[in-house]
Amino acid sequence: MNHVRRFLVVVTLLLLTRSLRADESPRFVEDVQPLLEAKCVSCHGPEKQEGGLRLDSFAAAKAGGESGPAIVSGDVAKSLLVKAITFRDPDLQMPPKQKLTDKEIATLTQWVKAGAAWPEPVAVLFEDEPQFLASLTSGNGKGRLVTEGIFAGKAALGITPLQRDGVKIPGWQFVIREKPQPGEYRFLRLAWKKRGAGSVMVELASNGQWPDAKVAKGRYVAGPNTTGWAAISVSETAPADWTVVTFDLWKDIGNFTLTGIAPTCDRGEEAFFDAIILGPSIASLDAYRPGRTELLGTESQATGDAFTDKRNPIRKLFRGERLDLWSLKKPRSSTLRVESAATNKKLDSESRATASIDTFIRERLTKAGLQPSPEADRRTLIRRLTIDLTGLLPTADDVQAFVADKSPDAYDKLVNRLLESPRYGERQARLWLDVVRYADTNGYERDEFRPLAWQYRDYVIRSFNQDKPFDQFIREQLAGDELLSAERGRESFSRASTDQSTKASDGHEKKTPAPLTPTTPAEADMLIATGFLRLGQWDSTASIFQEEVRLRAEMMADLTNTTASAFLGLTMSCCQCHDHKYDPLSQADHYRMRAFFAGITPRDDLAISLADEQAAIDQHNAELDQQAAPLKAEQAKLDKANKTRHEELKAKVAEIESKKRQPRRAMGATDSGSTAPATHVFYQGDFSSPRDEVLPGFPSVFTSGPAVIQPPHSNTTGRRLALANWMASADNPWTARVIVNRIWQQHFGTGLVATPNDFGYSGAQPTHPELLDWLAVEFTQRGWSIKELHRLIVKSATYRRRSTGGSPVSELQASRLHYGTQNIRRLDAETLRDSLLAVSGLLKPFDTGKPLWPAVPDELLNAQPAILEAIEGKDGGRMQGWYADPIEQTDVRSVFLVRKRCLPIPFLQAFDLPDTTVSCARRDTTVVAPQALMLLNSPEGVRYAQAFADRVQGTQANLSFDDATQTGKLIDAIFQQALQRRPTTDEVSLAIELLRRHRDQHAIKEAADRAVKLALADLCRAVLNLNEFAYID
Amino acid sequence: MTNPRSRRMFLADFGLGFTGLALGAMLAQDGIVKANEPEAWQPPNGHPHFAPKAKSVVWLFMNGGVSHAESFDPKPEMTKHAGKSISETQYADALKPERLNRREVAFNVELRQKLYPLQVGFRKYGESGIELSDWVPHMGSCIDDIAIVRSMWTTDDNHGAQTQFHSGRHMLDGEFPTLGAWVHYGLGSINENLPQFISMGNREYWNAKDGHYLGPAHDAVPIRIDPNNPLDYGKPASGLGGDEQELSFELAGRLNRLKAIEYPNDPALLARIKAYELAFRMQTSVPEVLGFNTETPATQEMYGLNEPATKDFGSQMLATRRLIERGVRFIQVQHGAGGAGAWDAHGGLKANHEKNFKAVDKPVAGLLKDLKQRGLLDSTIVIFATEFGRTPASQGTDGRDHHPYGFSVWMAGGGIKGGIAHGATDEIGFHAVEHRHYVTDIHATILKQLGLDSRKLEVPGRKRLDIDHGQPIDEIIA
Repeated sequence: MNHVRRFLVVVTLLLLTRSLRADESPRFVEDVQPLLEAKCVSCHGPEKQEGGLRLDSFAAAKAGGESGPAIVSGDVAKSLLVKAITFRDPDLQMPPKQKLTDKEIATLTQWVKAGAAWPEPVAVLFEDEPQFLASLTSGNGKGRLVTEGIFAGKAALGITPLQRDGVKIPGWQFVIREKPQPGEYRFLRLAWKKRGAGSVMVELASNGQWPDAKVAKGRYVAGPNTTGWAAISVSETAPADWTVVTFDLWKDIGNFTLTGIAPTCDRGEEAFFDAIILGPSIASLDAYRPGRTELLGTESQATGDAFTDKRNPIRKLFRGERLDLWSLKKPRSSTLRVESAATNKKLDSESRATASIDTFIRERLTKAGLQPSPEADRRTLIRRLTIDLTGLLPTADDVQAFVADKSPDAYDKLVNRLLESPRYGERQARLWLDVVRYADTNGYERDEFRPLAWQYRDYVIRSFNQDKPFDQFIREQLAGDELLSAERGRESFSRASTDQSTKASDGHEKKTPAPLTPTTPAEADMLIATGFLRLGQWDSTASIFQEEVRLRAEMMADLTNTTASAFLGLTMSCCQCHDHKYDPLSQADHYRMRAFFAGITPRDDLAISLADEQAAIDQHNAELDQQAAPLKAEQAKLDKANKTRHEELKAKVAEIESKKRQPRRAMGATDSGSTAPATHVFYQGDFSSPRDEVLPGFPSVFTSGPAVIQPPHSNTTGRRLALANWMASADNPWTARVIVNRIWQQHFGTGLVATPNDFGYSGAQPTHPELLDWLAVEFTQRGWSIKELHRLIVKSATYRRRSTGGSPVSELQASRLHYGTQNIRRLDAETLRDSLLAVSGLLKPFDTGKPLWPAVPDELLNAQPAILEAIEGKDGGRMQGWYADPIEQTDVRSVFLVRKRCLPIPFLQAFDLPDTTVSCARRDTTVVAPQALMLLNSPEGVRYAQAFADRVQGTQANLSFDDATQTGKLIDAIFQQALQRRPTTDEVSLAIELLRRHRDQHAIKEAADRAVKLALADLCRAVLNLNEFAYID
Repeated sequence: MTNPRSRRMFLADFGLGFTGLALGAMLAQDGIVKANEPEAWQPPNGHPHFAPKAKSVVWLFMNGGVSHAESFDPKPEMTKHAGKSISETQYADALKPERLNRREVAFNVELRQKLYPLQVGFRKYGESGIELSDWVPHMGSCIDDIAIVRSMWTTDDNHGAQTQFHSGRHMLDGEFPTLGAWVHYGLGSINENLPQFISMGNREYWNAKDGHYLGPAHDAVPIRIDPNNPLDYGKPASGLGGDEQELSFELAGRLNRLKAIEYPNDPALLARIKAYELAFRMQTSVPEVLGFNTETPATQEMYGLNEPATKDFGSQMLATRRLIERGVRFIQVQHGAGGAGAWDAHGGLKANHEKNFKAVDKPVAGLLKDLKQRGLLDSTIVIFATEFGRTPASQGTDGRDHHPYGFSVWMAGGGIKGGIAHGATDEIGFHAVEHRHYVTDIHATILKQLGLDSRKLEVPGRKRLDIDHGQPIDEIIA
């Protein structure tokens, strides 16, 4: 053992946790830095420099701002920082809104007094980064990341003999000097451990060269050195447990540039290394807390996109294939060709735009050798347009007015009127609610009601009616809370920012920072919008079985899959257990997207009362407190024997308390703080088999590195906002195409891409790719306006074409496939019901508020275990029941009816109501016999027909159907109301025949006038069952 | 109650040469067919892919989990070692963790250990001499027409296994079409007056639908054994009489016809007219199926209609035969309401199974015998199934817990061999050890007999896994 022994510092750390004792001076990293970051840096940091001062580095703090140096080491009196936080000087009081606590003031003051030690930053060579392992590319041993029994952070390096090394690691140019300047270093510290016999060694490359084998310079060993390479020995035995060693590189090696490292061991089993850092001083090393994963992102080795960078993981994974997926390319507008087609006419830009749609369509039609159908008649047009834009039928008067309007802009005026109708938002919202799988209940076995969910529904309606730009709509739903923080600036934490314990209806309890209080309705909407994050199913029984981890994993998977489907047309659900079978998405991509949501805490307590409303509530409640105060005082003094008075006071206080008002609340989500729990890839999708950790990132095919995330506030991670901003960008290849396709589908029954939630290889190809791209580009250029998009489409000749014509059927279908002829489409469930209500005169005006519960048959309630439990009185306040409202209150538009997951309203369900567990891109349209029975025979069907008959009959008495003129008028009214056209003579004679036969049939059992009424209802029922009523033509 | 003249007129109005739902045409029009694809996907045309052996399926499902050892797979070793912990016996191997892969759903994480003796005797039945329990004497009398599969396994250890047996997928995977829906999707109509896929009995809410991504058109139409109210909305809520009702249908039909002139051959509109036609006929054809008064007393007796214990299930079995006679393709009958299924004998197994077998044994045997005597068994596959077996060990003092590792089902008719017991569990009925079959092997067997290739039924954008398709059990096919 004649090796040179020169070890400098050997520290064995068993535990790194510590708490500040009274006699200790505060430590910078643990005590001081968090305080500065939370309370000072938002105004004195990289973004804002109030008074010219920054407090995010020692140099800046020492230099100070306009008033002078903020910190003078050891001199409390001269340090303006101390002066400001103590509030001694009325002109210099920081932070201005809320004084620090006494403890916080003491911490900062003591720290300055003790010399204001502000260690320079260290360079983290390895904490948890898988890339580090990849950079160790040679050597005979094997390396792996281990996640168990590690030293700190999330992972350690495991090396099996002999070694893994990298003589030149990308980005490594660490200058080692005796007196390091900023950016230079001197000391290396790491933790190591050896299992089994033998030794552990680390070797350092200087300027791209390994040290001479015979010189003990640049090699350190613990344990018997059997390698034959000279090394500085740290100890005679190898460390059996984690041991931290620190090397003075300048002293041992001299001035050099560190470019690589080789963690090594000889015989025996694996050696482990962790927390490898470089620092300019021992103090800087001490200040570093191993395992600080925030530092992870800074040294990431992101690759470029898979198209240009061979190192991109997607390229490796799929051997360079699968990159020709059409939807990966940014939409490009081929305007040139369109302009030339449209220039020979003198058109304004608006008309040119709609003409562009027709140009694209005509081109394909011509290629297919097809002629477009002519424009539909006006009655058909207004019916089609009114249903498509508002989900309701036009009234007979609307139709007459439009047919009579001979002005050239009659159609344009109609489009404008419908887009401005509040009914427009209700219709658009219904379709969006399908996409985000909205329901008013939790689902699963208990399926409890969510009393606040409706606010999200109304938010969606408002957003469409306001024509909120779609990019903003995306940001609000994914990150409205973060958006609010960002928009209001970091300092405007207007209400107390103390933590509060919250409990959401789904049982999630957690300490969370208070969110901001909105000051405008638009800001309140940002919070309500986060209801999007809560729409998935929620298994409230999970907590009973200690399955919170599973539940959380399911929520994350569901959010990821829904977000990807709804906004991007990506099937992220396919790569939850393995790499995607079709599209260039890796399994890690699923989890990288999940990580954006990792910080979420479900909340049922988001206060959405505006600031002034909140102030009024506070005042109201304070007044009540004042009223109650003397009573309480008396109560306290009261002799215990005086029970009567005691009870009396108690009752009075309770009565006063009961008058207190609560702020309005919304169901949504916020992050639980500035950091989020780690996200791991789950082996085969199984939450109980976590593997590698991943950071939030966009699909690797574009960039494999983590996303750049800037928290807008210390109360949140900023992750969701980063995701939303990436999605809500014209550069995103999917977002605009996906929404444009959805709107197109709304007007033609099928999308340009027939699978609106799947823009991948297993989805449909676009039938008109240039048109899709042109619409997408036009949409973003027009400020992401959905109303503009509708306008563009419905004004086109393509939209206005007739739906008839073409024989044989194959020709009709070919023409429809190419948009030469409009599709006929069955009304969806809600439109059908709403139209029936409107025609029968039953429809109640209702445009915001809690959902209404129509009655459903007992036999259905009794078949539902969840509801049954409630009926039997065992639901314990869990709101599992069915809470039917009086029938006349429930005659509102269907979007306002309750959507209970375990029990869809039967009348709507029969007409293909979608499942609420996953995003629904497109309503099924089935044609089955039970629908006929439902519409003809159900209590609803019969009731609507009866009401319609009453409405048509109005005040007319003594009807008999013997008078052909009078009867003809009735039949005319029925057709006008239901079908918006006059009956033909054949139809009139058929109807008269029916009326008379039914009247006679009923008259056997009923009085004459009753028989007439019933017969009229029978006719109404038949008309409401016609294809013509149920279809948009 | 029907006026023959107007009914003829009504049918004449509808019957303008349109047959079938023209589903293929509708789907093509709906744009599911991809552009730029030389060989565009085509939906099924209603014909089998190869020559079928069977036409119809009777799917009998016992909700809750039938104890296999006390029915179709007797295990005397359970009695012999009763009271001992499995780990104390020579069968301790059964508990090796790697043999206990399953997907748990909340409950039943406890592994039942103490062997529980058989609660019923057993004996040999029929010429084949297959051993069955004393609880199934009637089914036993049919054993020479039955193939038992004693080596079933599944992965859900809770009643989501019902869903799993019907669809082949674990409940946590999401919702997938059931076998009945696939058959309905693959084969067109063979009866113009009745729906082709009918269910009877209680279905648990997690297993209440069939079509899922194939669409609600492929859900079973539920009917009840109540001639006055057999069908949801089978009669107008207003109490309108049959004649008035017919008039309304007729008018709607005639008006639709008038309008249809503008839309010649429009598949969607014609399909809706067709649906109204079927709806109209169902209003009379479904009650007609339940009119048992045309059945002889001997037949009624055969199904146990005269005894209170067997009347309910017997009526469903008799209705089943009548539906088979009328050419209905797939009849699904679920037995056992209450809790997660009546057979779920966590306690009081003996009383529970005695009662449940009493209710189904004779009616099921009645159905087999009746189908056979009418020459219908050759073209009808009957399957008797349950979601999982019950543990060899006891739960509490007198029950058995859920057991997904090994259990039994049986099939008969439609080209299935009789008098055989295929596959086996180990000596204590714990693991399926010989010819192990996952639930989709049953699906594959049925589809094969119906002449369908499940891979050809796949829908674009819905990739199915190999395990979804299963393997036909060729050993039990004649």
